[in-house]
Order: sequence, then structure tokens, then C-alpha cells
Amino acid sequence: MVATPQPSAAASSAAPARRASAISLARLRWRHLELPLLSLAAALLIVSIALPYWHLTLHAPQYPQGLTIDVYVYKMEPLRNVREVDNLNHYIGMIPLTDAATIERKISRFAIPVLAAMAIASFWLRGRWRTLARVPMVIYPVVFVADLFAWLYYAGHSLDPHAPLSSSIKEFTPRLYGTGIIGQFSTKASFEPGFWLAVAAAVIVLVVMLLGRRSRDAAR
Amino acid sequence: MGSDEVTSRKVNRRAVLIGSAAGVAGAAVAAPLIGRRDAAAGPIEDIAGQIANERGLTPEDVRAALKTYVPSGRYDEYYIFASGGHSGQVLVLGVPSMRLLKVIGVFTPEPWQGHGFSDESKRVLEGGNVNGKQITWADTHHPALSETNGEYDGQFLFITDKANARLAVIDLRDFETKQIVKNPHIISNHGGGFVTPNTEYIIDGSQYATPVGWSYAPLSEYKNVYRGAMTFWKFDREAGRVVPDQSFSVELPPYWQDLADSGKLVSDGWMFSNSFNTEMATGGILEGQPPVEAAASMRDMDYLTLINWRKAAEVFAAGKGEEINGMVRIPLSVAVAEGLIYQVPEPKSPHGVDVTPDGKFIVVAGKLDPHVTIYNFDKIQQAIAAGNFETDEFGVPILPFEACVEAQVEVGLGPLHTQFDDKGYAYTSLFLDSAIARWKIGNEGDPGSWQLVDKIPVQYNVGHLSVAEGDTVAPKGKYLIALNKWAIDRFAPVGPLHPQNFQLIDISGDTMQLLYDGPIGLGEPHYVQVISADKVKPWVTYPEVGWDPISQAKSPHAVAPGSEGIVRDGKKVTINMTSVRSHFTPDIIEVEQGDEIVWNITSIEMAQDATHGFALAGYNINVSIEPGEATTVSFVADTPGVYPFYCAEFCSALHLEMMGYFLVKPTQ
Repeated sequence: MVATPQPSAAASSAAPARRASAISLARLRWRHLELPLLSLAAALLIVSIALPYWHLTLHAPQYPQGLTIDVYVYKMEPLRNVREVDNLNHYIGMIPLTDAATIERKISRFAIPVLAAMAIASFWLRGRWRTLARVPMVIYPVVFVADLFAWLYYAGHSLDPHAPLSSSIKEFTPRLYGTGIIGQFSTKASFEPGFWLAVAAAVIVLVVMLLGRRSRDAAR
Repeated sequence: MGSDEVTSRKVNRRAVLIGSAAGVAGAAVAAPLIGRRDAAAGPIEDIAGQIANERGLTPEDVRAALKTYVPSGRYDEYYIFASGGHSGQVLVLGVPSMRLLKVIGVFTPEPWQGHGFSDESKRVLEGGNVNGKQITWADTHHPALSETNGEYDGQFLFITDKANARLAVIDLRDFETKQIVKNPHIISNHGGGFVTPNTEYIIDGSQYATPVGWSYAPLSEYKNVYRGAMTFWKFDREAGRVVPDQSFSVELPPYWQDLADSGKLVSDGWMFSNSFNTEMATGGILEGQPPVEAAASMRDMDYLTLINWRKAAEVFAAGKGEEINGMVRIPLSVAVAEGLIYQVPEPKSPHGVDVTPDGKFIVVAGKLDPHVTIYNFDKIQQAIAAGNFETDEFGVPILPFEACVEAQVEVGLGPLHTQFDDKGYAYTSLFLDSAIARWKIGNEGDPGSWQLVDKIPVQYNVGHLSVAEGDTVAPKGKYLIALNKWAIDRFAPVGPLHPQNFQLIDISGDTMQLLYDGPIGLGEPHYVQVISADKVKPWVTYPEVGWDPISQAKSPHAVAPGSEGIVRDGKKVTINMTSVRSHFTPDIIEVEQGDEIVWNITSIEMAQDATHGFALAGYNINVSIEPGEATTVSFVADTPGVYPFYCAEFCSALHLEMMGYFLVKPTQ
């Protein structure tokens, strides 16, 4: 991955006579690397299923250890903290965490391996189909963040007006990243290893796409 | 520390510096905190000196204060499990702070825990009924922690009720009472709540001799019919229960048994019990007889009773006992013939019997004799093997005193109980002297090496004492608790009925130092056990939602969220309710007068400390629903009316709103 750009970078400043052979060398290497890179990206994405994507910590005086929740693509843990956060949220009329992103959580464990498989399969595809098979994996982290943000926005903007503490809290969007304050709670949100693996996988596929196109352009 | 320092009440800074050097070192951690609070105050020793001067504290006071103060958020080093005396409960305190951590409902209904209000805990209390009669108090005497290889394992606590010869089992996963059993052979106990080294059995010895099995016989039949018994309650650790079917007693002569202890290591398999009133006095002041106090103290010697419990268990298993009131008793004649029981003379009316950590010696505290008498287990075995003994009038062999005794130490007046530390010292409480004696455990064959070393006065009239893990094979030392019966002038007056005084004593140094007076505001908190806090690992919430604390498993009556409702079956109305901050579901219950109510409540909380109560007006109901707990209350709705029920634990900001209506329609 680190080595591949070097020949083309070197080629750009090399003499025209040596250029063709350098490109064919790079292209030869590239053909060897493409499948391993796509497989690596697919593996990273699949491993990410087992790791948390997003993390939320709530601090308040009566929770000296903090209330922590790890969000995976298909579950939230630990259960006792999820229950507790839901319990607290019902006072301000917020939907339970378990009611959010139910479809996403249900399909993710099956959809993500499909994305991974598509990326690998793209190696044997050509043209538009190749691109179509790779794009979902590249945009997946962005989709995840957008979806998470949408749910946070929805949760903070669909508060039950009949909830016990509805009068003391205005509509808000819980922080996607960084620290915030809700009532007596300070919140801290962060992206976790699962998400970063998905980002790494996306970057790898993107690099494969760009370099693949570039090497083809160069060869043409 | 010199006595001259003790006498000077007003102290200068230098004296505080010298006196509290050890304590200051211990409190160095707290220095930054104090410094922050009062930046102008300067170094920690200046602060200590200034406060000591302001409050008129001696260097010893400062040292004691620094050794016992446990800052907010820090935990105590040891737990004390204390008899709750006449309250029938168990107290849990921390050492060295002596803070009260919990009162565990045991023999007496306890509203906070719903003990005796929920169906499950009512059944536990019913186990302690005597002839079908409910007993709602106890003279709780001896707490005993379960042991593995002679060391506390922190799993279970047992406690006896002297008044009615009952035994309770407390599970230390949730600090709740799981079982109460009534001894079917004896009506009152004393030598009870002592475990064998692997908690195979819990020993329960009779106190006052009576006709066996709570039957009747006139006092004129005392020698013929009245008997004592030593009961061995079999404990099933897996089930966390005493198993009466596998338990048995050994019949004893009608002497009164006092305290007892199990052998350990070399003496494992045997147990020891002191007896008194071998005179067999029964009183009769108006009949012209001397009172028991005099008549039972006439002989110079009483008997230390020795029982080979391991062999007794074999005799029981061989079917050589007789069943009385549903439990087997080995007759005295069989016990003698099988070599299960022996007696050794001991100075008159002794009280405690305690086995040294190595199991080699048995220490008997004289009570009316100023000595502790130390018996050598090996010598006892040799005396038994020699077979050279007399018998008492009940045929029980009496081994020769001289052949069994290792040494005697004159410790002071009124020696009652002995425990041990990790440095080879023994500690004996002196009731009449109001003091604790520290003495050196000597060497075998060298009676002169057993010596009194030190004494410390206590306030006042000490009964039991307890050293950290001081009755195990591996005592921890460091702290001793003197359980004083009288407090007299130690605390601000609270009327004629005074608190008792648990005094914490530091035994880590060359001399003992009094650290703390802990008032206990209930009757006769008789005895305590002190265990390292790290051995006790309780749950902070129940393992899963819908847990039945009595069976320690998921309850068949657990109510899952979404399945709440009211089910009527004829006159039987089952209410399936959940509780969570801050509502009960359902919250309106309408029934007819005379309906039989079965009210299942499950807390679906999982957060630590989010406990709910369930208090129902008019029907004497208050149960505790701890996070995850499932409980049931059953009653007949016999009184019509509208009865609000509510959460009786301040659970949340909307706690007052956590309520519902129970409406009982009149049948007319």
C-alpha cells in the first residue's frame, strides 16, 4: 500500500524513454496487489462488526463511575446501562435507545459481509459494474455517521410533550462527537475502533479505485 | 506510649508530633486534600496540632482518630458481622471506622428488606416456628462465618437464637436470610453457631437441660428425663441450606452446656464444649433451695465435653440413632459405647472454650476462676488411649485432669472468652476486671513459657471479644473488638436503657491501644466475627431481572415488561406488576371484597441502588424490590376501601408520583 504510489511518483519525473517500462512494471505490481488489498479491506470491515463503532459516556453526581454505552452495528452494550439510559430518557420523553435504528441493527450483520463480498468480487468485474461494486464500501462510513446523526436528531426532536420533565428540556441534538450537557449529565461521545476499521477499509478501497483508474489511464 | 503523655490532657505541638507520628504517616495520603481545603493551615502536623489543641485531644486521641477515620469513598478493611441481640437481626459494621453498614433481617420481621412481609420471606420465618407458634424475636447469640480449610471463605453466615434454639443461614452474596431451622431436640441453645473447618456441620449445643423434644416432665424427674444435646446441623454448601435429614444430635447428661468450638488441623474431627451446673441445680428459692447462681457453683470442677463428631457422623450414618421429632439423636449409651464422648474436669463454671490456631491446644476460660486452663489435644488422645478413667453417674468417661492439662495462666478476674492473633498471642476477655488480657501461647512441655504479657482496661463488663479472623487457623491480628455489656458514662445519656459499647482496640503494637467506642443501640449484641473485606464479594444488583432471592434463581413468578396485567380465576386475583422509576404497571387494581390476592412484583431496574419499596396501606404490607428482584405478597382483600400503594424508597425525583390505587369493592 505504501510502496505502490512510489513507482508512479518516480515515473512522473523520469525520462520519457524509461517511462513506459516503469508504468508496465507498476501495472504488473498493481495487478498483483489489487486482490490482496480488496481482501484486506473486506476483512477489516468484517472484523469491525465485532467492535464498537461509537461510544457514549454520561456523567452525573449519582453515577460516579459514569454510564457508558458502546454502540455496535447490531447491538448496544452493556444492557444494564442501556436500560438505565432509557429509564432516564423516559423522564424527558425521549424514545428508548432500543427503538432507534432497529432496521439498521437488524440487517447490519448480513449487509456488511455483502458489502465486503461485493468489493472482493469487483476484482473480476469490469467498467461500471466494478465501480458500482466498490462504491458502497467507500461511502459506508459516511452513511453510518449520517444515519447516527439522523437518529440523534430525531431522538432529540421528537420528545414526548407529556413526559414528566418535558417543560424543563428543549429540543436538542445529542452530540455526535465530543462533549455536551443535558440536564445534570455531561455527555462525551467518540468514534471507536469498529468505525475506524470501516474507515480504513473504505480508504483502501478508494485507493484501489483511484490507483486502478490511474494505472489504466496511464496504460492507455 | 508513656503514661505521662496520657495524663496530660492539654498538649503542645511537639507532643502531638511524637505521639501521632505513626498516624501521620498513615494519613499522608490525605495531606493534599486537607491542604486544599485550608491552604493557610500549612503542614499536616500543624493542622493536627491545631485541631488537637482546639478540641483538647491527647496524642493518643489523635493517633486513635487518624487510625480509625475512613475518608468518604474509601472502604473499611474488615467487616464485622455482629449479633443484633434481642432485635433478632444481624448488624454489619466496618473496621476501623465502626460505621454501621447494614442491619440484616433474620429472626424478626424487618420492614426495610420486606423480611417477613413477602411470601418468600414469610416461609423463611415460618421455619423458625416453635410448635406452630410464630416467634417474632430472638436472642441472637453467635454469628459464625463459613470456613474452608479452617479459614473464613466469605460465603455464608450462620447465627443462633439462644431463646428458642434456632439457627439461621445468611447468604453473603446478597446479605439476606435464606433459612431458619428450629432444633427439634432442644428448647434453648448456647454453644451454637460454630462451624467445623470445612463447614461440614454447624454445631448447636443445648444450654438449659430440658426433657428431650420439648416435652413435659416435672423437675423432680430432672436426673432421669432432662437431658442436654449437641446438635450437628449438616450444611449443603451448593444449595446454601442446612439439611435436617442429614443432621443429628448426640445426647448429653443434664449438665448445662456453654460455649463450644471445633477442633482444627491436628484436632480436626473433634469438638469441645464447656459444661457447668454439673451440680444439676434447678433453683427453688421459695421452696427453700439456694438459687441457681449459688447451687450451680458449688463444685470446684465441671467438665469439658469432648465429642468426636466425625466418628459420630459415621455412627449416625450406620443407623445407630433414634428419631425424635423427625431428627436423629444418638443416645448417650451408644455415644459412650462407640467412644464418641469424653469429659475432662475443668475449673468451676468455666465459660469459653477456644482452640488455638494450630489446633494443638484447647483454652478454657475460668469465669469463676482467674485462670485460663490450657489442654493439650495430644495428651487428651493419649489419656483416651490409656483407657484409665472413671465415669460420671451417666456413664460418660472422665479423663484425668493432670494427664490432659498443658498449662494454666492467671489472667485476671472473670475470664470469659479467648481469641488469637498472628503473632502468637492469645487475648482473653475479663468480665470482672473489665479488661482484655494478652498472653503468650507457650511451648509444649514448658508450662513456664505461657505468660501474661499485657492488659488493657475496657469500658465496661466485657463479654465476648473478637480478633480479626481470630478463631481461624490463620488469624489476622491488628484489630480486636471488646463487646462490652455496660457503657455507663461513655456516651451522651439516652435514658435508663443504655447502649452497649463495641470498643475497637489496636493490637498491632507492643501495647494495646483503645481506638474507638462504638455505641450499639439495641439489646445484647452478643458476639461478632471479623473478616477481611476482600473475602466478601457481594452482588451490587441481582444477576438478572426476575430473580428470587430466596431460591437464588430466576423466579417462576417473574413479570417481564409487557406482560403485566391482572388475572382473575374465581376469587383468586393474580396481579403481575413491574416497577421501574417512577411507576408501577399496572397502577389501578380493582378487586372485590374477599378476593384472594397474589401480587407478583418484579423490579425491572438494573441500576445499582435503584431500589423500590411497595407499601400498601391498610394491609400491613411493605416489601423491598431491589434491582432485578421478583417478590410476591399474598393476602385476602377482606376490608373494603380505597388503599393507595406507593414506592416507599426515595427512588427518584418523581418518587412521590410512583403510586397506584388498590380498590376493594364491598360485596354488599
